[in-house]
Amino acid sequence: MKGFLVVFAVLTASSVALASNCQVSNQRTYTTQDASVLTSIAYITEFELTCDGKKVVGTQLYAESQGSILQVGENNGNYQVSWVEDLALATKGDHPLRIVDDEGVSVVRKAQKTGASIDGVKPLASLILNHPGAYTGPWLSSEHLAAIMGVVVVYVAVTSKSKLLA
Amino acid sequence: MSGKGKQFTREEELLLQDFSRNVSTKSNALFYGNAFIVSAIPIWLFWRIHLMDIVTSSPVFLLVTCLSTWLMAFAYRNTKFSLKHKVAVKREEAVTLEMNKRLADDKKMSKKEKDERILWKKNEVADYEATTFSIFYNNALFLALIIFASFYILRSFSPAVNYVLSVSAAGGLLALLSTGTQ
Amino acid sequence: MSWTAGGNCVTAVLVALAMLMMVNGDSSGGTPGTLNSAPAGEEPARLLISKQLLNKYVVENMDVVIKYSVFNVGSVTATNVLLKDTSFGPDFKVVGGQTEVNLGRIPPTANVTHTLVVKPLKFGYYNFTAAQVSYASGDESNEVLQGFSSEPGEGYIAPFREFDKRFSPHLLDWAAFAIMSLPPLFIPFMLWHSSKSKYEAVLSAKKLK
Repeated sequence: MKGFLVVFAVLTASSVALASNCQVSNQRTYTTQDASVLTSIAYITEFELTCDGKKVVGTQLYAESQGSILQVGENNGNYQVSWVEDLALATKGDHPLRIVDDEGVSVVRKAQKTGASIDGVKPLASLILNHPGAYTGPWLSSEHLAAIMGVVVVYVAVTSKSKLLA
Repeated sequence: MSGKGKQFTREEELLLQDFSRNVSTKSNALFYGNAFIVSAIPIWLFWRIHLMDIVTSSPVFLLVTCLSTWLMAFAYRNTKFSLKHKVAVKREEAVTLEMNKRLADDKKMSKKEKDERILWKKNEVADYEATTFSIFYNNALFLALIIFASFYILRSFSPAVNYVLSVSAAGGLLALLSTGTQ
Repeated sequence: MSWTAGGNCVTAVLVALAMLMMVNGDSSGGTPGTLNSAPAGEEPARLLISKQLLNKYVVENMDVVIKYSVFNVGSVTATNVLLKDTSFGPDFKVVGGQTEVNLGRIPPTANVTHTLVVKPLKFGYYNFTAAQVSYASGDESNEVLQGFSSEPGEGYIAPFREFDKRFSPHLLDWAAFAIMSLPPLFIPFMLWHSSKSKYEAVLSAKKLK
């Protein structure tokens, strides 16, 4: 029994260590673009991963984004990376994500503890989550604009009248 | 003031016209026409922005528009009257100059006739300027008052109540203001 | 085999995989119904889940952002954490994220977030209920533990028309209003102004002479 365990362990370790040939397929991104009713923007990207020709199912993955590590959820091979940001702090544009497994994430964490750069860590795959920006409402409400015009017109009228009556 | 009876009567007429608040039919038509147009404009705002149903609210729209038309015409009349004298005084010199220049070549006209024409022209100019300014002034205040009343002060009221109150209050306020002394 | 927090991750992964392949019951797991899978003195894994709606208003056909935060307040890693939210039935359309997800392993004192975006298809009052989570404490236990998230409670999904009326800028309508207001204001003003400037010009011409 123990022997079998050891053999199995070695085989699995080697397969994980050698899995550098991974492709991301079927990537779907959704970010909230109409934020007029929201307090935060949601960034969600779902994808499938194929390593060495075999679809990855059931493996725990993590996503590294600008130094922070996000846990990736999975549903039958469909992986999801997601987070939320406050409206005021939300950033638009490309957000690069590096997908790593348990081994990769421990390397990243070790590097972060010692203060070393994590740029060298080779991920299983790399993704980009693009957020085109969110609409948060007009910067000047049309009623205020109309009120300002009203004030201008009244000013003209009243000053002309007072000049007339002078 | 002596002179031919005809001129006297005409002068009297003009003076009477000056001091009377009565307006000619033409002036009246102008006032009511303008008042109706400016009273109808807020209907657009309430239909499109406050989302009042135009079909079900049409009796309210009609009633309030008629009331506002009457109030605005009243305001136009009174404002015009209060301005006319001031305008006449201001334009007196300029009108006299212009008319003299125009009638200078006409040797056949007597001085009296020239004076009469000048007086008439003064009256006409003062009438014209006072009328147009009165319409502009009251329209400006009316529309601005409605914007402030319906979008800021009465914002939380139901659209129908908002409409009735803001339009009639704007019209009423202007009618009231026009009766005051400057 | 005993679990030590912070142990070698690779070994842990391999061991877990090996365990899954083997027949159950070989570990030192406890009997169902008891929480003896953790070594004595350590609290088993316990997950607290908060489900929040990150909306100022919930409006028909507009995004609703739901954030699930899963915290492990125990001292043992929670494994095979399955988060499932079935509360968004046919009256909602899922536009981003999964309603059922396996979050894997959650170490003690760690938290993991999951995001979901839905669009309500109907307006009215709606009771936002809790999501369910199932997990195991540690790698050895086969006992499935259950938990529920917090309930956002009853909320009002506003009809789109109501929201639009209140918040839409109505730019075209205001532009039309401006165009309509121009004649009653501009024409009298210009008529008055032209007469005024004409006679003022006569006066100033005289003064110059």
